[in-house]
Amino acid sequence: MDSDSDSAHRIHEALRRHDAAAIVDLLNACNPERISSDITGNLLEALEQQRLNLMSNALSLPEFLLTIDTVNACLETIRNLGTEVCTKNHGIRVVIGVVQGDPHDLGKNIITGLYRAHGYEVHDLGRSVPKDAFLHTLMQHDAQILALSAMMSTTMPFMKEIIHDVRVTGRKVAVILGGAPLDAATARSYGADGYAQSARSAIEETEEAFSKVFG
Amino acid sequence: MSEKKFPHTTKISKILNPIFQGNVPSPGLFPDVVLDSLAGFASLRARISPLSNIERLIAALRHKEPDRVPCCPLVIGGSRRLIGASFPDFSLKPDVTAHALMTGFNMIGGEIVIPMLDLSVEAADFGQKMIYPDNSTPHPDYDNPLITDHTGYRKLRRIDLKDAQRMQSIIEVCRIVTRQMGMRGVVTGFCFGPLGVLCMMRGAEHLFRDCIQYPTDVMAALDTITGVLVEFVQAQCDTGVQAVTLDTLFASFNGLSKPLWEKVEGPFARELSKAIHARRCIVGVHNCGDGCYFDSQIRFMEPEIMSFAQLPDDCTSLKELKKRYGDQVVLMGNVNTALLAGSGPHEVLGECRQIIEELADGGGFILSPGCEYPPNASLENAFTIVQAARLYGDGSPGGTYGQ
Repeated sequence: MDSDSDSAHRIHEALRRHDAAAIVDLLNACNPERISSDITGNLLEALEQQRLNLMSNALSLPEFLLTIDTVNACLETIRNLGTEVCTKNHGIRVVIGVVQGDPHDLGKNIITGLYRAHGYEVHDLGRSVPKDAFLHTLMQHDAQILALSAMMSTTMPFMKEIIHDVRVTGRKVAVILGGAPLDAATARSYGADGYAQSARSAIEETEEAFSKVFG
Repeated sequence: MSEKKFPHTTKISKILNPIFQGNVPSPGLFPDVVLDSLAGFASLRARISPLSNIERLIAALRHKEPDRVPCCPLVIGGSRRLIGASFPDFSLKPDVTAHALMTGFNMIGGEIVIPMLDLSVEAADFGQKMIYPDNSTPHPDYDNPLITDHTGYRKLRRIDLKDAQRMQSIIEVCRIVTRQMGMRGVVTGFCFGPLGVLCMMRGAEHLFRDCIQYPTDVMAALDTITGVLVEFVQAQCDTGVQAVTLDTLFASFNGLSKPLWEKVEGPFARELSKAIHARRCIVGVHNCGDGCYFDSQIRFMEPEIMSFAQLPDDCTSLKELKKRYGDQVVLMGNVNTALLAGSGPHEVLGECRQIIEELADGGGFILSPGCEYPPNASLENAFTIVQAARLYGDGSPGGTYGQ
């Protein structure tokens, strides 16, 4: 069996090549205890490194998409092996979707992948989601985070209506917005708790919004 | 503007014909020395009297200071509200589009009109199923993409431009708007870059993966698309527009890495640009992406104008942008569209003033939003942009730059 540093290196390298098969081979050769702690840890650490590369523009969006695909494929394998994937966000539920009338879901899909890899329980409603569906799903799953996306200036006003409807219920929910036509000031004016300019900063922005609401 | 980009000789009739028809000949028809003389004279005259829109643009294009910065509020879909037209009518009826755009020009002002409809015009003609909402911009039906997997790229078939209904609409709008514009301003056609067109038929997420995993398949489709787009941009040029704008959004952090863009779309973008220059029209490049690759786009397309929303990948401030690229291209931008949608004239005036102060010095600048004016936002801020150019864009001695 490989040493810890060796397997970490192999995971980093495989992730860089988007080679899920190589990581799965490594998983199959491991004993279950190591999978849950070391291997999962290495995988998420490698993902985090790639996200930092994305933030510094050393990695492009298409490469990062393939990275997320690879990580999520591996996490799926780990779950199928009957191993619990533990992360610090375990138990935090997110409802995410693109608002009504808007078909652009690239950003939302990247962030969904990131959330899942970071251990959030994600309920992805897809694109062009009717506003009532957000509130309904929030209540159904008792979610703590609502992440809304819009890529068109014509559809972004729906965000304000959705936030209003959520606030009226009195539920404690951290709302985070993202999308090209928005900026932080607009997100604030809509009543959101956070604004993610892009997938690059979405994790930090979400954690900040969550802390703001839940302490 | 380098003469090298344009064909060597010009028949004098090519210059005189548009003038006799009451239109402005494209600057690409003139030798550099003539343009420089016209721009120099305009800049001199600007010190004593207001310039016409065309004089102002020529001065700016040749990097001389006009009487004030020219501007283009980029009110496109938003102009339909001035005539009470629905989005589908604006998108599908050329006479309605032209009427809306010219009403916008006549009411709001500025020096440039861009007859564009939306980013899915070309894809719709290739057969992509579309959705035409009543109160929003048309877009592809992404539940029914034309290309469903990577094998679909090589199955894409060339279409005949004369049967391409939506592209023909754009050509007709260019014809009407150019005729109605006369000598009052400049009309620039528009074409989404081939990778953008492909994105509308495949979806961005799949296309991005495919660009890495199946680049030659993607490029086969781009080759097919570019063949049609070359005819499309040249048909726009033939209507008498002075320029055509190419949108290469994916040459930015929002798209491909720089090397991948240069490999995948760069050569096709170059082909389109050459086709426009061959018709002696000016090439504008629009890219509203974050960290767009000015250097690559300039190298591949040799544009005269770069319209942008965000700072390019190699600049950290507008001042640096002006210093690095201000002598290579005319900069056009970059009022924040979120501000236009969500703030009032006071904030917009402040933003315009700051941009003018950083980019207008020495000419080579056009004030405009970084992307299309938000189509459903109040038009108050479009008027504000035009007024900001008048209030703060005076570069003459005793003018308002930096005050």
